[in-house]
Amino acid sequence: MLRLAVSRILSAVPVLLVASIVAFTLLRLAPGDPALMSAGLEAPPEVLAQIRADMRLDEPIWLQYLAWLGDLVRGDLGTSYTDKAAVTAVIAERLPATIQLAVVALLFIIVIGVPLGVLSALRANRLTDQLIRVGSLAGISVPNLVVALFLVLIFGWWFPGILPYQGFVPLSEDVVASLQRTWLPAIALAAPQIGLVARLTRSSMLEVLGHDYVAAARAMGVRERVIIWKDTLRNALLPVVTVLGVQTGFLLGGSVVVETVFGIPGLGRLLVESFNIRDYPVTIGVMMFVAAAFVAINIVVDLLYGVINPRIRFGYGAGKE
Amino acid sequence: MAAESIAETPQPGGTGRKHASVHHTGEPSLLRRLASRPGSLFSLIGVGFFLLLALVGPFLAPHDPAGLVGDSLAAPSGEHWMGTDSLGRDVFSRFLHGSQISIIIGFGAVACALALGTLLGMLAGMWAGSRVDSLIMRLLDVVLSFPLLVLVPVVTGILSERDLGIGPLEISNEVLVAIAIGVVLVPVFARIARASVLAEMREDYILAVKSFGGRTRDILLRNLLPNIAAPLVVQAAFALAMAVTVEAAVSFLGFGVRPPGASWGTLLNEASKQLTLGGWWLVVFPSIAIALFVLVFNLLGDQLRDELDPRAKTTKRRTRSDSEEQ
Repeated sequence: MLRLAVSRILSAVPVLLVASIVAFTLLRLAPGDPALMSAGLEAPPEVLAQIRADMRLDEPIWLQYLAWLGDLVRGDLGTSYTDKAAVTAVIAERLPATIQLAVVALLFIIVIGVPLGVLSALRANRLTDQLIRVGSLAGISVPNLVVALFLVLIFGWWFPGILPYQGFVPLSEDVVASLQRTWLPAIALAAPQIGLVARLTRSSMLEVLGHDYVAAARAMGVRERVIIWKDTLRNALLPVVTVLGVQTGFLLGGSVVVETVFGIPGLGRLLVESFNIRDYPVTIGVMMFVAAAFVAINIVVDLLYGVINPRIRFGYGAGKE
Repeated sequence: MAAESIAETPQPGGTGRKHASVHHTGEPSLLRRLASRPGSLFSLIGVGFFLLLALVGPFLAPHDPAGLVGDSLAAPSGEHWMGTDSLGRDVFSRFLHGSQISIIIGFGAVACALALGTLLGMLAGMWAGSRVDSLIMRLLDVVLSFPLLVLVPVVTGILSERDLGIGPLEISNEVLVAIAIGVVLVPVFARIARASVLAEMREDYILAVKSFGGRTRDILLRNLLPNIAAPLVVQAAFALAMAVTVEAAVSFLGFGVRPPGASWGTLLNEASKQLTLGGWWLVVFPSIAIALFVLVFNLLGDQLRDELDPRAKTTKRRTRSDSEEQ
């Protein structure tokens, strides 16, 4: 198990390294001059040249990359072009909003998606089941962006004053205000995933209910409630748990759109803002931070799957196919 | 459409090629089987609707999509079916033009991803365990190490700033967006193609062809490709839904199709600025179009999977990997 963990982590390092080269090269290809952006259009040439030298933009790209990589090893992601703050500090400042959003969204997914899936499986092929199945398919089909815009329309125009729909308040400042501002974006972030989880829970639950041991328990006269809550649910939820882990990674991507709509100062918003003003160190910092988090989550999920399902650990498809 | 080429039933007597078995000789065609079920009939009608919208939509536009033809922010009326935007442009005309762009970008992106992904995946599967294989798979891991909506905005943002000219060839902004989205979707197809090739290589008919000294190119294109097509076609339906969602998201963020042009994403971008002024008609129509498009192609994917790829229904591990790709 430990060996598997170590080998997965070791194999992720070169992938992330290549990813950083790709991100670095891509951003340097982008049109637009960061020196011009930071000094203004009227700046005299010698000032621009000085700024370029400060930003190391006059060096060959591979030298710039190696310098960046050297700093990274020491835990330094460089400094922002615009406000000269350390990129790590900028990311740390924006991270809480994104995490808070993702955690609340994940709670929505679990609290709504899983019970709907269980209910659907228990009422298989009856009206309730059919309604839930149609509902989840419809839910999956509405992207975050659309949900977010409609929520702003509903709470910003049609029924203003019920819930705030813009901005963010840190949890440490004011718990109530902070949570109030989290509901809507979290729903927008969670909406498409809820249907996905409900569907998966349903099919997983149906499969477990079809196993012999459930039939045996029924034959022995174990009460239906005990069978469902004690025997079936735990086994049925195993694949759901791993998918939830994977979805946590996808919430990172969805947050780019949702944070933009709701004006939340999180990582996703930071990516867009920094790219718009050509603040390369911040953009690369965010991209690589998110990529590292994404890869780490996937590794944890894979390992977790191995813990839950021992067949994976012993030879059968260890790692990837 | 790709689905229809699969749907052709071979003539009785067949061509004698091995892959004829996939076509269920003698059964009604795939299209007919799909049309016989209400769920898939709905999705087929939807597919037809969107194809028609993309083909003839712009010709039906009553106004110039960029022309200032009315009051600003007028609600839908007989004159302007979907109202006007903040500049006084006719939203219905913009919607018709934008639908064409969004749908074409979606199909273009999936076509790129399908072609490139299948090729890479088949090469990797053919020489599984070799250096080529590990190189290809590692490269795909690099793409997969970013969440979709982190990589695509940056890539399209960089590519779509200006029209790219390669020699006399002018590549427009929309094409670049489609290619960028396509590249990011490549791993989805490559993984499926590789896994399918690995499975097929163990089959007797491949061994037979190999023992006859069949050329690698022929094995890949004539023997393997037709037999691994089913899961790829299924995935293409899901990928179409994803590509259109991604286009909407990046154009909304301002990194995709550029503002004077219209797409579902740019329409939503304009709409978002007028939301709290009550411009509901700006957001409602493109939203419905996107949601309906995604629904139709998700449904089509589900139905195609049931018809073409019966194994996928029964094995647990498939369900897991599918939801990962979502």
